[in-house]
Amino acid sequence: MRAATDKDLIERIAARDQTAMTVLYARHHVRLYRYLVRLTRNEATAEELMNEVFLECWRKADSFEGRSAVSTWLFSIGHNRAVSQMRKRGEDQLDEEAAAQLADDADTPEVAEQKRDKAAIMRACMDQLSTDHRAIIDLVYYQEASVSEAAEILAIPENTVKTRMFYARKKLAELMREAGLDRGWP
Amino acid sequence: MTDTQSREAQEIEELLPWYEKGTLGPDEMRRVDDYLRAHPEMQFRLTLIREELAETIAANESLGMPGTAARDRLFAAITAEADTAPSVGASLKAWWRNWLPEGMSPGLGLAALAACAVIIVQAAALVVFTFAEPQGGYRVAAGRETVPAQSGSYLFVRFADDAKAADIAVLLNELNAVVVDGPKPGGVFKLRIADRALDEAEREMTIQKLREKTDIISFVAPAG
Repeated sequence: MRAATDKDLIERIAARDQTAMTVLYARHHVRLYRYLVRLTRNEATAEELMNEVFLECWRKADSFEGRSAVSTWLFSIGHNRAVSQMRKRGEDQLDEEAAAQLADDADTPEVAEQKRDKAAIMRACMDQLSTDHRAIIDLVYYQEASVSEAAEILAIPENTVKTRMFYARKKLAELMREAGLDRGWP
Repeated sequence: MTDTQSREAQEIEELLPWYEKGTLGPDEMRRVDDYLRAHPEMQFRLTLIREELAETIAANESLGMPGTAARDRLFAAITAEADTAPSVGASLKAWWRNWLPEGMSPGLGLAALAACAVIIVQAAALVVFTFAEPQGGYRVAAGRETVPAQSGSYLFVRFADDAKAADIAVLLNELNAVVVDGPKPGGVFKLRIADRALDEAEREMTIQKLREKTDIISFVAPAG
């Protein structure tokens, strides 16, 4: 028997089928939660935002027009809600310099030791990227979003998606160089 | 390197993350493949991307999962909503979907419905202008009484998208209000909130009550 597609589930959810909602939740909640944690840097906030996304899905399933993947729709709602909440709290103003300063202040000798490790340096530098840059890197590398899916989630044109990813990677390379690791690019 | 070559190199460079993930369309995959064959030095950039990819995945995988308490809260909220009536919008949309011929898009169906509505309105206008009584007046929603056009106090309201029919009915009942006209452009309805002309303070009190019901009413304003 064929497993129900996400779009099948959305149709059933629009007809108030809670079992379909449970299946859709099981399929997408972990990745959505991780995306929201990476964006907000707060697990409790990410959990609440994730619940808001699924509740909106439950309430508005009948308005889903099927022009995009269901996961794209969910991520788009999640991204919007996260960014708007961060904006309300003034958190998106946290620039890279401030983030870098925070990271430096928080460094224990142990962390400093770990930073000599290339992977750890890269991860620390990724955490210092702006919200926009963190979002695009996670969407492309972890969430496996295509150019058009990322454009829909972030509500920006496809060309902007490509250039934003390029500049996010460039910024990452610059931060790594400042941390003592020159990757030979750009 | 010419401008054209430089632009092409930049375009390919921008596509590399998706190329590595295999999320490009077939044409762009082929284009990057061809470019990489002709410019093997670009392979080095793919190595950098693989490192970034591995670290992004590792960082995400280290985050764990949301707690079961969050899941319980979500499904408790869903169960509570499932026990109530579906929203007005959802009911109308479901009804509309059922009436659409198979294969017809909702947009096309809406256009057809709009065309029918224009014809019906024109026909109704002809009937009204031909047979209308000379005195002003109209039937209220309940259809049991005729109210002189100028008597009573009225408000314009727009119901929230998520408002439920049952909640709207309870609110109107509480206020002893009746929908007498609408929807007008923008989804606005006209409510009669009293049979007599209320003074400013009384009317403002009712407006304030409606404004507080943000889950049911998204707009309220005095009507005349």
